[in-house]
Amino acid sequence: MKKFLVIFLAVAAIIATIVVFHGCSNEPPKKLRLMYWGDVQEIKIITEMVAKFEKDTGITVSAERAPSGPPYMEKVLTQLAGGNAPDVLFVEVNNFKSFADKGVLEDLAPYIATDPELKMKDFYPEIIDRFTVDNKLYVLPRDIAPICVVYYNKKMFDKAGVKYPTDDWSWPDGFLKIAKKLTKKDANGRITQYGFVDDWPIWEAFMYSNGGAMVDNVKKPTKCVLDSKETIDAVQFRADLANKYNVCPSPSQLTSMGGMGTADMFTSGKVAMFFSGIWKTPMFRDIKNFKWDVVMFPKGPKGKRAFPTGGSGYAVTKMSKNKKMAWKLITYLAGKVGQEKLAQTGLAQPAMMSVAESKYFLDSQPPKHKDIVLKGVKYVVFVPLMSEWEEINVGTIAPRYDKIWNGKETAEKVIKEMVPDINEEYFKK
Amino acid sequence: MADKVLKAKMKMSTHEALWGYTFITPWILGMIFFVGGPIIASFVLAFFDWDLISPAKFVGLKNFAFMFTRDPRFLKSLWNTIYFTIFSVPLGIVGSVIVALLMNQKWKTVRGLRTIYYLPSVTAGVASSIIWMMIFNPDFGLINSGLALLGIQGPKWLSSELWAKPAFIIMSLWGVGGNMIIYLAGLQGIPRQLYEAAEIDGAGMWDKFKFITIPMLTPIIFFNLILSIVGSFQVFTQAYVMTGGQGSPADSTLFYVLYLYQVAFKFHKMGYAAALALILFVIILVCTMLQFRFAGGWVHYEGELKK
Repeated sequence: MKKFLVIFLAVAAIIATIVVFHGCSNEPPKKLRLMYWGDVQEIKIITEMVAKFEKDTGITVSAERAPSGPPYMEKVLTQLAGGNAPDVLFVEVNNFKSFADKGVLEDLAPYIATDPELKMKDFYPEIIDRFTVDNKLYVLPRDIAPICVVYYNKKMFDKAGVKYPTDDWSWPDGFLKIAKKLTKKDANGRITQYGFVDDWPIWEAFMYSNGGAMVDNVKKPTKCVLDSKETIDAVQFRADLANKYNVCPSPSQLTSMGGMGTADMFTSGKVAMFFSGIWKTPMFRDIKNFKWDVVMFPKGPKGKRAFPTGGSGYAVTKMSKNKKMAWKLITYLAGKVGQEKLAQTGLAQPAMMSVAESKYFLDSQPPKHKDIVLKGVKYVVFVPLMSEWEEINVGTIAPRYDKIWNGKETAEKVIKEMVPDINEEYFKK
Repeated sequence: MADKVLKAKMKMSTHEALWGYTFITPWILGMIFFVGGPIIASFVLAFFDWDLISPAKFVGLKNFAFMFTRDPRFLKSLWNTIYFTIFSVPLGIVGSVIVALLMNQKWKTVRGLRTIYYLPSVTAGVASSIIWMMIFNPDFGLINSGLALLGIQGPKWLSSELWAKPAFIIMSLWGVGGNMIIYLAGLQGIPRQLYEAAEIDGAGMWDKFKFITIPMLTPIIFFNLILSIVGSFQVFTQAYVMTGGQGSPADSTLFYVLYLYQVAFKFHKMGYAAALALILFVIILVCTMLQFRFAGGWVHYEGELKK
């Protein structure tokens, strides 16, 4: 018992000493915390850049990773709620608004104005504009990701005797014709090869290129306008690709792929064209004897070009006790060197124009025509800038659109019923 | 002398009690610190608006009013859950009793079979969900291939609004092994004399089953009924894994807790999620109380009707 008491007192004394000394120092803490998500290549880049930062500044950084999507948000929000805010957050073009609205993010405009190396005009104006709300820049952009990349399997085109598509094609004409030619059936009429599949139903690309829109004003939405004829026609066209023209797998045909993802269908030669963002590049590069290239998503019937986009960057939290160093850290991560490293992976298009146009991104690795994403930037359309958009999308649009994708109901009926509900619930203020 | 024995016994029992409490301390402490606090907090939160970061705002009964008047997904998810419960609980009980009866035979292979039937209960929910996605595959999954042999074209299961819920119910039957173990213990606890006495009176197999086995099992059936209903109201993992947290297609597998999860962790409406949790608690509480209320009529304890 005595022995125990001695040990107990010793431990207590040590803890007390640490606490007292810790509390005494007036200097900003020598530690930073960074929260991020990302895959293997991103982990590697972040680890390298963090190590460089630690070496240059003598400040230790704890970089904590969480799986992307809801698990990441859960973790960050729980830490914020618990008063244990990280100094630096990785965010993307959609979720940053939830943080900005809640007053969590520091305005970075003054920091970039006085930074010796970085300038606002180094970055694509589209992504700077997205991350700026009421003249406050909340995020230092890392990448922009126009969802305009149609990957195609050259061997399958050659075999079918179809010419490779070029950027000037449009979806009702060239695109659909090619997709039909590349769809094959067996003797029983079962489809053995599809012409086209998108990463997920990317109906937004069809809608935007047909002149449709989600809301009246992306930056300050006051009304949902999905019930325009342009949108209805475009959504119906996307559904028809599966249910009428049979060039694209329907939801139930996708489940019959036995848990195979749409990208796997493309790499295994079950589909000739695959639509997504540039981020699939590293995955396709790793496959041996796979001949592929990319082409820009086709124009709409009236020749309009537009697509949705992703993008991400780093933000500093208002609660950070060492904002100056936190800013310095993000200039390492999203600065020139960090972006160059990212560019080489092929995973993302750097948000810094000079890096995107440099040899680091436009190198000799496939795909040959990766410059389409550089050309694509000026056509991007962001999702409405409001924290509730995720809720509208997950809770209303996605479940109701299921009926369209299944071919159970027409786009016209579903959308005309849905839009008044969205306006009533979210825009009646 | 007698006094001494009594004292020793007393000492023994306090000693035992002390150890008993020591052993349950971790659980009690865990309950108080990690579960008790959040339970109370979630009751309070149900009357607030809270997004986890901004200060919580008291809104009175607003969350509940919204739920019952303006939230179609609340009603939809509640209906989905009730549908699931109505079918999966009775089928589960009948299924596990039948399996337990079979596993109570004196076959040589019965031990191995018991293990096989119990295995799904120790398999992780995520892993079994993935296996079932293959079984339900409309083109070459086990079920539709079997139906095709009979000349029946199987439904599209998980991607069909109509068949997705039945698919989840069928899948829930995979877990009958877990309850089977409890029934098996119950079956083996039925005194042999009862059967022998019945045989002397000339009872056949069916009579023995109906007048001895079933009544003697009712306390266990009752216990399982309560737990199964509580469990099926909280169905979550399968739907979360198999639909990517969406409850698709068209919200047909949006079960109550899945919806609650979306509200809390995708929409960040903690107050409303807490209100949903409170309503679920009330529903389960009422269900359980009703079951206890009507238990007297059919549950036999030691062969006597409990009045």
